[in-house]
Amino acid sequence: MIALWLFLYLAWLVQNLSLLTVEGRSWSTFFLVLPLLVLPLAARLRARRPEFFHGWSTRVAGLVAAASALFLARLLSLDFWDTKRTGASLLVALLGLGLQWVMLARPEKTGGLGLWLWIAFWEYAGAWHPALTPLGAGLGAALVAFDVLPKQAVSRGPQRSLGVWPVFLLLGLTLPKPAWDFLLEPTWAEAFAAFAVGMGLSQTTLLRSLGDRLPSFLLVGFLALLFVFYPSAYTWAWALLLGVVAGWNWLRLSRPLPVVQVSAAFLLGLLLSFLLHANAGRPVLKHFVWPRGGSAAY
Amino acid sequence: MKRWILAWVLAVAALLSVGLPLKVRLDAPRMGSPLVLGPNGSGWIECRASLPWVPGAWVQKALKAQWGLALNEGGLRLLETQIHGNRYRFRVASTPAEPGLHRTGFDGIWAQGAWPKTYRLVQAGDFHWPGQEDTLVAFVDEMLVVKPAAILFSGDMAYDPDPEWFAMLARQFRRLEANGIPVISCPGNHERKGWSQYLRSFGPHTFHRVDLGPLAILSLDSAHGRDQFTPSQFRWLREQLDHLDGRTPILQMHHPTFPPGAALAGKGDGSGGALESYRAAFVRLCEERGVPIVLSGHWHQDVVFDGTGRLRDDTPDFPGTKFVVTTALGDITRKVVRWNHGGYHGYRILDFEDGKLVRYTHDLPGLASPAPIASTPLGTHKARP
Repeated sequence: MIALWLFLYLAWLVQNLSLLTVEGRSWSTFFLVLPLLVLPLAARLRARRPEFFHGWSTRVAGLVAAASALFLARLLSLDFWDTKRTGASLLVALLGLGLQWVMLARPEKTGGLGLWLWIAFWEYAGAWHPALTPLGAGLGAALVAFDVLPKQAVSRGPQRSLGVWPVFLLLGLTLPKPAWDFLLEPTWAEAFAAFAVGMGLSQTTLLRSLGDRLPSFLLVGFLALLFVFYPSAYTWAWALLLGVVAGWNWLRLSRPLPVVQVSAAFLLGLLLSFLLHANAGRPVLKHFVWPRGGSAAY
Repeated sequence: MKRWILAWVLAVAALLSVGLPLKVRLDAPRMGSPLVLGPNGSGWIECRASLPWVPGAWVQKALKAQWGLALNEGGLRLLETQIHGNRYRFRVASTPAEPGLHRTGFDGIWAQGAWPKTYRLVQAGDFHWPGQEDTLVAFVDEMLVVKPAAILFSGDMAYDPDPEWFAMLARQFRRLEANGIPVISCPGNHERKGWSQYLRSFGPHTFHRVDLGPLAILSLDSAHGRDQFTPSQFRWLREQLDHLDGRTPILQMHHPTFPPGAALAGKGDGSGGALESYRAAFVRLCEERGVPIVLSGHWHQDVVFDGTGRLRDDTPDFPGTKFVVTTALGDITRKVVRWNHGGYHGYRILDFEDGKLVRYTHDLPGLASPAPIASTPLGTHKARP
């Protein structure tokens, strides 16, 4: 469930706001960041009063997420999101709040290849229109809340456990590279879909056993390496590989995943990634951002 | 498994509820990125539908109903349809036209007949601020006298993100087009403030190619001063320059290629931002592919660099690509480099002969002819009363 929050909501939100720009002091912006501000409080409430997150409240939250996502997708269909419009921002906020409530209530109820294919589909739908991606998050939240999606316990990989901070910080840094590269061209959506397919494939028996043999530092190192080596002409293949590597890392994380820490690390990675790529001219750093400055392979 | 089937059925239902009734968005041609159909050539009309994989005929019907674009009317002939998800591409040709450029029945689509031996382009950018719309009106009046084959607007056309501003731009651009002058534009940094409004008006292709007579005009998106030239855009540029079909490439983008460097005047009036990413590779590509001129704005001053980044205030004629910056059309003028003959609003006239650029500067009083660097001051070609 946390995967829906991270990849269909958080990554989508940061990507769209950075692409379409956002004004600092407006109600609209307040609504957009509201779910992020509320998350630590909601997580604390979940820890202290878990009974609030049982039964009807979770179903209502799932319905709110689905309905908000549906209205948002209809509102923005084929249009370019004016981030100053309060109506759309309010729908994004409601989607985020509903989604995070369900995520806190049912943190890892759903997993496996099925979930990653669901995420891949909605990432791909972002190529048809970016507003379709969060529709997958909202709909997924409702399906989880109503126990429609099959339950699947995600078992831990080998004994070695990775910290969430390095993994999600690096993932946040690396994953959005196709979005900064292709900007308005929807190739980034296909890359994100390939990433999700890679995540799913990493959990298949064959690839999983391969990943289990690799030391943890190498897995984290691969993530960093994929930040530097980004072949723009072969984005989907790069994204598929990133997905497999991220999936191996994902399996090494201790469970249950600390939702607030994971979100904070991933968000920080996404924001840093934007800042780095938006300042591609910085000396030294530029060689790590878009390496080889336009030579043959790129 | 049954649970997943239910989930996917709901997903399809959700997509249908978003996409029905069927809508289309025309992506190309749009304002600033016209389609010019040559005597024996064809071109692509591109749009997106609110649902993927619907029959092309339905999308054509929606195009006609929502955008007034009929693919087999007004002198157009539909040759081919390509469908990729919800992206629809229609290859069209036009009936042979008289010499020169002619509008077809649809805004933004032009039919091109035999091309004249000599012709001119005009380049301008960095428009006025709100409240000074008369400047643009005067410029358009002047262009009706200059009569260029096309006008290139190199960004910073919108200092106001409101829809009214873009409606005003559309009115003035239509005046030009009604007089047979297509407008070819690229975005600057100021368009980012009202980015969604810009995209609604100009479409989502922020870099594009327009083939006009013997020229291939490549408009690039140098973004908002920082994240310029991503790998994918640079690759697109290289592919275009590799497939010119004998045309002369003319490039425009908002940000100058080079920083002021040794030519900097004082603190450069607070300006002087230049291309950051891919600069060396870009310059090398331009020189290798024989690009005669790269046009830009942003500094609000006339400047010309050669391929080494040296200010060429000695002569307009030097070998290699000319990296040209043109003064503001309406915004305040600045002094970024040591060139002392600026300080006026203006535009740049580019004269061509058989696809070769023969002149790109204006002879100012007191300077030897042909003068280096200088653009044409606004008001030089007075409109008839």
